[in-house]
Amino acid sequence: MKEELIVSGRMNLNIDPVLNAWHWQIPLYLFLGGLAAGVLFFATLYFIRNESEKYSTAVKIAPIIAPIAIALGLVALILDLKHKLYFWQLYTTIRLDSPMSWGAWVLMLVMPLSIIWVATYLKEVFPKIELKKGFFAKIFNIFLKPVENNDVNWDWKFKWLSDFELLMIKNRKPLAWVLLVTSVILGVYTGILLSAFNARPLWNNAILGPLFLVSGLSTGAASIMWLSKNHEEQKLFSKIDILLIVVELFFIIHLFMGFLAGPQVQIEAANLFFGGEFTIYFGLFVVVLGLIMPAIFEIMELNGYRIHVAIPAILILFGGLLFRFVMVEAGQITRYLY
Amino acid sequence: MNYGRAPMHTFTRTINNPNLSDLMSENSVWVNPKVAKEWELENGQEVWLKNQDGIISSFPIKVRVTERIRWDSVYMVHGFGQNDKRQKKAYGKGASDSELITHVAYDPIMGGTGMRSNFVTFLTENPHNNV
Amino acid sequence: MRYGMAIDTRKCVGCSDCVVACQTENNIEHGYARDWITETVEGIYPTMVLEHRSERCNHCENTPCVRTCPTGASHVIEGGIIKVTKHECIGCGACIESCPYDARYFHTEGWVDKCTFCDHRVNNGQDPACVSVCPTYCMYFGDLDDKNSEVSKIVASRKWKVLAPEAGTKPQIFYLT
Repeated sequence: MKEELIVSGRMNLNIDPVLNAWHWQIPLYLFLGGLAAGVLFFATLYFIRNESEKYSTAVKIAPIIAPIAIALGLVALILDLKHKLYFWQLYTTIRLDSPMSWGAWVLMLVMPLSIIWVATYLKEVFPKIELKKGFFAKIFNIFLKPVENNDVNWDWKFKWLSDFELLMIKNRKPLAWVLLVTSVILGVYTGILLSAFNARPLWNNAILGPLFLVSGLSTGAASIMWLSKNHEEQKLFSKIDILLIVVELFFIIHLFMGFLAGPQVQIEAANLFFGGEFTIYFGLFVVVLGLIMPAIFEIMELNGYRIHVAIPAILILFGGLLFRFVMVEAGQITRYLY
Repeated sequence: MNYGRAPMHTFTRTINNPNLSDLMSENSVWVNPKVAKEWELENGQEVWLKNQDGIISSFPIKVRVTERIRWDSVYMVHGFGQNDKRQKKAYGKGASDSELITHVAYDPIMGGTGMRSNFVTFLTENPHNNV
Repeated sequence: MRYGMAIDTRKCVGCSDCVVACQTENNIEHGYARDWITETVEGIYPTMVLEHRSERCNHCENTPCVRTCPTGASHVIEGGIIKVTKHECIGCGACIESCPYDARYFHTEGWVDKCTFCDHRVNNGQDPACVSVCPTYCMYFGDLDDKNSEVSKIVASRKWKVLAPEAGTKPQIFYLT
């Protein structure tokens, strides 16, 4: 029998008996960041391929999710900070070693760019906005004004906003390229954030970055599929989703193969998922319900069965969210000592 | 039943000290894994102790399954299980060994006492519920 | 200059004096601790090995906590001591997640607190509080770069181990076995 225990001294909150420094905020934020990255990636990708009319949901409508998701994610991040009033310290330094610093700066870039992207399409997507009454009208009135026109019943309140919009519409192509690159960085970063911690054997592997990127892209594709009214577009994103799910399953198998071939601490980490306390959450809910079932539904749909598009989309989004919760919770349990 | 001391505590008065109470706030009864298996005891499970004269400890004590003790005896740290509520930090933490020491052996020549001469059994149900 | 500590696990009795000394010296909030005692028991009665270790931040040479800190609040000062600047820390928890020894914790005000090797004492030529109170004299503190310091001599002459060397952090606390 080997007994190892802390006899006295350490009873620090959130450290013992298992580390629990990160609660629901971090996985929620990782999910929302991945979702935003996925949506922006497809929006800019199909814009660059000059298919923005063919796949209008992906390019014009779905990106609205991105700034909302990032804003909610940032709220979650701020809630996670224990020394909240000092959050601005993130923006006083650039630390290339720290993934969190990368993430803070990338978000700083993606957030305004995605708002600009959405705003340039606002007149096309929402030609009629109610500015007379209602709760939102008050907010919109800050920067919008009603105009008499047949197609669009509103315009920017300030001239510099209109000028800026014109400038951005002219320069959509470079904007799309920048957003494409930053969205990939954002997607990878959600995984790298975890894999940079060499103290947590479950997180400390190189495959987590691509895995989280693929997972984020698949949640993005799923939400585009859900929002789309165009059958052809739904079909395309259905196919993309199937491909991404296959890649994700492949990465997950690789992840655990790597663990089982690794040192003892990583084998123990993998055992949390093979018979340990996360077996049901991961095996049943993430892999079966969140990956395999939606893939089957989508294949059935492509072969002519009528399945509502929301079912696989909700399953994928739910699976992506739970996947991050499981990874963050389980990762904090794994450790080197004791 | 054996008793002894932990390096940070001398008796109840030290247990009532906030700093020292942080180090070790209650005692545990050390049980060999073989005995624990026989009694189906788990680490951290609360038990009451009953000695050969039928005296039952006033407070429950947690089990620590460890190889550090022989299978024919149990061990606990002295000084815990204070039953005076005025010692706020120490009251009700762990079980008292002196409660259970009812049989004391005397050396007939020089009067030394041997108090490690008691035998206890485990009660897994709360015996004080009916009182 | 590279401060290090050697702790003789054969002499340590696990009395936790070092814990209380640290709490009182550094005014640690009640209920928290920067150092702690670990007890390991290996083997089956009656042939077994017992080891007490006084553990704390290992002030690693390769510091995951400084690397992952997004603001630079975690930093290395002279002598390889790792400290946290209170007013730069945002309380994100990255360093807590990255420490293989779980040596850091959230202060109730939100910033991250940890062992400082008592740098306010060390800079005045004194030993850290935990070392100076040890009743069995099982802890040695000094400059590892100085071949003639007590800690260098004892690390050179005795068998030792470090905690979780596979984590690649190169700890500066040596446990003499």
